[in-house]
Amino acid sequence: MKKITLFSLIIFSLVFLSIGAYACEMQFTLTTPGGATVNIVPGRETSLSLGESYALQVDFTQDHKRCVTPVEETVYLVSEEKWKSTKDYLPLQLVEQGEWASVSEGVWTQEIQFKTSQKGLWELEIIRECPKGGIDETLVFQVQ
Amino acid sequence: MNRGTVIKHTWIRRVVQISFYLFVLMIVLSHVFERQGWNLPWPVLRNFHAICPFGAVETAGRLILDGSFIPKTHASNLWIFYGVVLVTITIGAAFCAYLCPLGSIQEWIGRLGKRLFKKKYNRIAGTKMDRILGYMRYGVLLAILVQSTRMITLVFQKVDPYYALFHFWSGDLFLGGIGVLGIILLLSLFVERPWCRWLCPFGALLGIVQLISPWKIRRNSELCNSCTACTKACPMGIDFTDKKAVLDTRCNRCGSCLTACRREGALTFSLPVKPMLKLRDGLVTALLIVVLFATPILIAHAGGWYNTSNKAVIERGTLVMNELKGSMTLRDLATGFDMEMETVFTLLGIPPQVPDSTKIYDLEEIDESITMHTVKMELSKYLKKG
Repeated sequence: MKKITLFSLIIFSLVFLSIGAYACEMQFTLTTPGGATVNIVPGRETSLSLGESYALQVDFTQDHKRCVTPVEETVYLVSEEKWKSTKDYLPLQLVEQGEWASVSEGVWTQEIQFKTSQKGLWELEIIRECPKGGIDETLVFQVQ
Repeated sequence: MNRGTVIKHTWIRRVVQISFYLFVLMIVLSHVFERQGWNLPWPVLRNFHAICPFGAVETAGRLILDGSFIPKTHASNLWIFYGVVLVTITIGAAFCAYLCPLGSIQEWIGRLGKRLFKKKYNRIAGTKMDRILGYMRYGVLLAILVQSTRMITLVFQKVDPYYALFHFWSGDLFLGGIGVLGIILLLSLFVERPWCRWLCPFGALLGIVQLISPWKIRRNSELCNSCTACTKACPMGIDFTDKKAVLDTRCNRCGSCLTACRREGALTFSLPVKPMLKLRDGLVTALLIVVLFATPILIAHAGGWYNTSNKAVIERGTLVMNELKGSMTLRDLATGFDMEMETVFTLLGIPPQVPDSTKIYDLEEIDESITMHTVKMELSKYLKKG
């Protein structure tokens, strides 16, 4: 009985820790011009090369029972402005923004192509406004 | 302790537990009622994470590394944490026994378990195994510290039973959290405070901090007749035999040992030096805990440092240009820069029919020339003139 109790508690704690380790509601993957893929951690600086094109894959997992904000209402801001392909003055130029594609129930993905046009430290903010808290993630890019 | 003091001590702790539980519940429900359109006379907290003392521990790594808070944590987390630390360094981890709602609910379910299983209650793990399982708390604490610093997010929230306890009825639920909560509450029927004794990362930290507290449970070996009533009464399974003072990190100062002791002066909650200032009266202990816990929070409130969101900076009218965010509304902008709403509309050329709840990044949908870039330019010009 004691061994069973010990074993079940260890299993429980391992499951507990592994869930905690991957507790992201949004995940970001960057594909470099060379084809390499990099997982981006919000808030942590990622180095990019000036004048190069990159693909950003955004994976969104809805973990609430009821979400009142459609996935299409996710807002991308660069320099606190909406990220649009018409804005060629932004340091990260949006080339193409794909549609949100449903992967499975409660999971969506979107691919965004962009080009770096100015040297410096730039932020891409991803916002999901929601009365239940929402999401506000910031990706930090160092363009060199 | 005599019978009258025993009952008083137990009931005072229970009253504090229930009051604090209801207080936290009221904070959560205020948000729910506000969503239903109720107009509440007190300020409504929209971010539950901002009032969790453990949020300060989770964001500690980022604060040390680059001075930033991880999302959903604010200065309020730090002030509440200071309150808990003040209690802990003075009289030990009494926060767990008196104030923590998750600890309280486990204890209440445990009372039912005691009635159901009588002598079999709290016998799920032997003394040695119980101690070994207790070390898991440090593993959980370390994992959370490392992961939250590395991933800059509240990694714990998806499995946080405390969050689940106050949101299980809402759509804001994380299934992992409700699963953990369910297992804990079920286990509470068989064992006293399973979360606290085996897994709680905050309890692990407070257990270490409390080692420096001057007030401890002390045993007078001359008066003690080694009846072991205290050891049997301890819900955490701490052995008092041959100890002068309880230095076990699992002790949460619940006072069960004190109430079990029948020899006056054999077991006391006191200082090591004479005069032995004994916290004999449960009311004094409870008041001391509440006062110590509330002091840093009240100081922060008075000083205007108790921020539960970025809104607090806006509401003080002390916003600076670097803090202006596209997600702020026109109302936030006017309040943050201490401007008249009419001035903001005129300055930015916004049509009067546009609601003041419009976000700055949405202004370009109304007039494509009003971008954040132009808002900042016009605002800078205005502020320079002023």
